[in-house]
Amino acid sequence: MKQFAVVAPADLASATRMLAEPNRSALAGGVDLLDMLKQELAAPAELVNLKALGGLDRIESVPGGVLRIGPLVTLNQLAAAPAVRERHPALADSAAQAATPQVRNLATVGGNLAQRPRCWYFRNPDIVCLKKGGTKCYAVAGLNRYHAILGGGPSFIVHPSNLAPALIACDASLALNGPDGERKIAVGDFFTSPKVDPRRENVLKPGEIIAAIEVPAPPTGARSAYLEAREKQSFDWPLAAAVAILALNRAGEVVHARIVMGAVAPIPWRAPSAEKILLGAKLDRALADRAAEAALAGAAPLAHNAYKIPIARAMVRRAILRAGGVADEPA
Amino acid sequence: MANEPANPSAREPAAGFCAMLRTKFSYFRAPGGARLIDPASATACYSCMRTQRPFGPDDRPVGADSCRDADRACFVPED
Amino acid sequence: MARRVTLRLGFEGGLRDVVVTIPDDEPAPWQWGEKFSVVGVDTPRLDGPLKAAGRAPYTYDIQLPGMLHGAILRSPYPHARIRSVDLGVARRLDGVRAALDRSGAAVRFAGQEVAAVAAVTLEIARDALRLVKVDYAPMPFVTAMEDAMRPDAPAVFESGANVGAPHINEIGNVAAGFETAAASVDAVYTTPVQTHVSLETHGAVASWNGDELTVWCSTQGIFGVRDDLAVHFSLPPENVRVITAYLGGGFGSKFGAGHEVIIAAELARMARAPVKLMLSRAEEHVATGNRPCSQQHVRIGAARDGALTAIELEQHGSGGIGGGSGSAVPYLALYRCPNLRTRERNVYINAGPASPMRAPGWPQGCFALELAIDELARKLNLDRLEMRRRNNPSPVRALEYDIGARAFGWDQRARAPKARGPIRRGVGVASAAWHGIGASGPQAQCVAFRDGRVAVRIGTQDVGTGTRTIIAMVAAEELGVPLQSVTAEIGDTRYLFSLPSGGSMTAPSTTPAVRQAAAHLKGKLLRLAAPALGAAPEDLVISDGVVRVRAEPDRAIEFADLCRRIPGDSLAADGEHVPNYGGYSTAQAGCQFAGVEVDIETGIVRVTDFVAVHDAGVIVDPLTARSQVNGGIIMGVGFALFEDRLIDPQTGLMVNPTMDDYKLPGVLDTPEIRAYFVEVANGITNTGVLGMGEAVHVAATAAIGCAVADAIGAPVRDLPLTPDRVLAAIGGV
Repeated sequence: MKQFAVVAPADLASATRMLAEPNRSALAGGVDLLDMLKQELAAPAELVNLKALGGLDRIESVPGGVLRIGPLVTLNQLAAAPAVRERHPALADSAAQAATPQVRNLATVGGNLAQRPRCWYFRNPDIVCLKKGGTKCYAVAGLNRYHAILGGGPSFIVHPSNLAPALIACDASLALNGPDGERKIAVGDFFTSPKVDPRRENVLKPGEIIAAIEVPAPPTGARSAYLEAREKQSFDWPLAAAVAILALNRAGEVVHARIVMGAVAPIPWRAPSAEKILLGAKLDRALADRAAEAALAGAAPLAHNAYKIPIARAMVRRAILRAGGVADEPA
Repeated sequence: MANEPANPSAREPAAGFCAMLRTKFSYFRAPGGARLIDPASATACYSCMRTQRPFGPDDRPVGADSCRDADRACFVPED
Repeated sequence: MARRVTLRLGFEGGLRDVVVTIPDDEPAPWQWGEKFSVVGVDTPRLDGPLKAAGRAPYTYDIQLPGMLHGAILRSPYPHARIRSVDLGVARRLDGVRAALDRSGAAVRFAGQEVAAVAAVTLEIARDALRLVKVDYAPMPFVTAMEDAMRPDAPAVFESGANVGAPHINEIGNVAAGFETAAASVDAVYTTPVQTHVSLETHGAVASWNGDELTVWCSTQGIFGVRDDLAVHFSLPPENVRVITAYLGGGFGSKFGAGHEVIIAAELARMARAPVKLMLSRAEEHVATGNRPCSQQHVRIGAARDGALTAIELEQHGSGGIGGGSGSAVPYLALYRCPNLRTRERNVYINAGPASPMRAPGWPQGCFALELAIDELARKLNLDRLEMRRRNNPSPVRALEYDIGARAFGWDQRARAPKARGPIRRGVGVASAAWHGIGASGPQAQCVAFRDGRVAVRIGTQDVGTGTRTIIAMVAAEELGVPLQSVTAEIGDTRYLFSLPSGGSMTAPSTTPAVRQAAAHLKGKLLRLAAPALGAAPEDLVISDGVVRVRAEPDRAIEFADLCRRIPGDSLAADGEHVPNYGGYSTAQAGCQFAGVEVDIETGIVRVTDFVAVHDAGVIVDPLTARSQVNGGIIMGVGFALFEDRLIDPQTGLMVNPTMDDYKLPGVLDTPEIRAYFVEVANGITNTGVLGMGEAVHVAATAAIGCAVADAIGAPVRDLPLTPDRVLAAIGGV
């Protein structure tokens, strides 16, 4: 690890000014950053400590039913917050299932969205891959059992954020604050496909930070579910994750549907084709099967990760059934 | 008796190995004082005390057979 | 000189009288029905509070005045010639105190040691490594065993072929055995490379005082490290002192002075200052050893009644640039089979060398053999436990099968419906064996102090199994004093010699020496007590901390009061491990039952519960014994479901050398474990204690593999049992 200084900004404006300087990194929970420093993948001269700024670690209910979540809210705080649990159980669950209690006590919502990928080629200090300015993605011809099955190329990472699929399904947006002021974008627009730029995972400009996460009130009657499949039940990254948010009318027909997958693509992967199949139809197991089939229809696996397709399909189907209140198996 | 688990102290210790040859059982001795190196073991992991590696100063693999060869240039007799 | 004693030996249902000849100064071996007051009582580790509070000084914790920090530069190439190593710039970096070329001519795995530096901080040392200029000439490499076996594969050693000559075991006539078989199985099983992942990495702190060297070292064998350092530096062994007060695991990877120990001592000598060199987790994964991979082609046949008629094994394994990858021993040891042939071949690849790992060869061999036996039992339509009973050579294991089957509910669970939604339940059973007997060499000293305290000192080390605790228990038992008055002092070559902690040999090697030392001390104390009590020493006994006249228990003196009669500061006596004599049996049996749940839509396996039945002679501390069972099974879960050292074929680099990517079982992956012990009085030493570390591990992975096959109705013959493999097996049903 190279030597660095930790600086405490006086306010948000000075934080973004400091971060706009070259060779600066934002320090929030420090979970991913410390890994990056120790593996010598990042060597900033200064860490700008966002924890020095007050007020970024709160969850506020604002008029109109919007939850405004500070970027320094920890995953455990998010998972336990009554307002989140009641209105957005899928979001609470996506936070609760990440990593370990110790990590969740430190890791922040902002950091979870902005963390770097876990790809083992990217993380290996002896390998200069496409993401680090090299010429190829080593996953293509290498060991790719955990890599992307959707939306891959030229890089085949999977985005590691647990929260992003749930936030996208909630139609959440981000307030980004930078030297040029604040802008607001949908969470779904925050992430950058490797087809646009393989060296980045999001649209943050130099100096920009996530200043707030805004989650609107769920549609009337909406219910949500988050499920992830992990090889290990303790401290592991998902092989596939799925969020379903559904609202049903009295006839049992789907009137609102959001299906978003995690850990399957370089960005959180929304499945509009699945949503389309659900909308207007009566929810039962056969419909959930068809929607899950559609969600994975475009999958293009690499040599060693085709097994993720049925797993992702099962997560989508189960999330739909759980959100829709339909038993997975006949009683 | 073949249908019995390996029993290290039941082995008749062999002799004549290079003094630099190491394996787990080279740190054990039979009641007669010989190191318990077992050339018949298929699970012994050998290394050379000169290099700390499974090959010797001459760049060739070490083992119970190859390090019993007094003609090997790096061979050191035991006391 | 020697005397003959008749001992009641064996186990419940298999007792007999055995006459053994033992030296005069040796206490009579503990036998069946022995009345203990300390031994056999659940006893928390004596050093548990210290460890839990973070106050136990591990090598990692050693800090010395003026201490420097060492770091090692490793090759990023899996195979290369080294043309030159230039340390000049690194050596001139501010804060660097020493630099060392460790390259040799050839690099044969990515991670091989090339150079080392010592600096005033670890960060400066690592900065300096980046300034070392190495001119590598990369060469073709091979990192997958199946690739290395091809005739046109790059040669790992120029001096010879990648595939070694076979180790052959042959009994009876295999061809004839298959002719009489009513059914047979012919299948290939594979197991991956597993790394030890000791929580404390390898490393040492080295400090010179003239030509005297003191080394704090994370090692399983302090005397081995001492002797290796003495050879390396041409010093008399008494000039080298090695200390391992606390050790964060070894599992076989920490025998002798490895690179990091030699390098720390070399750098300390060059810099004229103490040097600490502890490896990183990545270094630990790539360079300090591993359990070799295996590919086992098994043919196995049995008669209609399940009796095995023939086993044939064609095995290849790779210990990287090292050897020792055999896995045939379980085939020879676990079951009766009249016709048997095994051929084991080592294959070199460009990867870090293997080192012994918890029952070398056994978990690999057991996995393939037990899965094959299950496949055979299915063909013969036999209950899988019954199949094992028919071929079981051990009367102790026969009892253990019964105990385990009852506790696990085998008869019900093996026949229970498997499906609940997408979940399939399965059960498996596998057998264990070991020879956790001791070896000669250990000596111990027992000291009574004037204040009534007793110290037992022995140059062993506690690899994490509870050695410190059981040594104190044995001394307390023999002396008849409460455990609280005994401290065990270990982990220092200034104490009397003991052996490395490996091969499940620590408890059986050390406890007889400790007991003899305690018996000798008791003799001296009783001679001291005799005049005070007006009785002959042989008429006195000590129990519960009181010395009494055997025939008149009211004539007594407190142990602490007796100690005040010690004329000097203390009274000491030595003892030694007497070579094993006769007795009942040196063999250990054991069996483990596993329950699993498999999600057939995701292929994810969860191990729900285990029943383990084991024997290890006299169980000194059932609590630490159960702890060993837990550890052995958890490590088996890791080998079964998760662990796999993965090397990228493009670069030859290990891609998962972290705790994140190299997957170990966590709390939620740990099954409920119930352990049962069958007491065996074996009389082969004065304590009859056998080691447990390996016996409790060998069957765990196999039992899980068998349970998964039962759950999904198809064997998964390749470890780890990851979702891709499980889904593929289900697809093939």
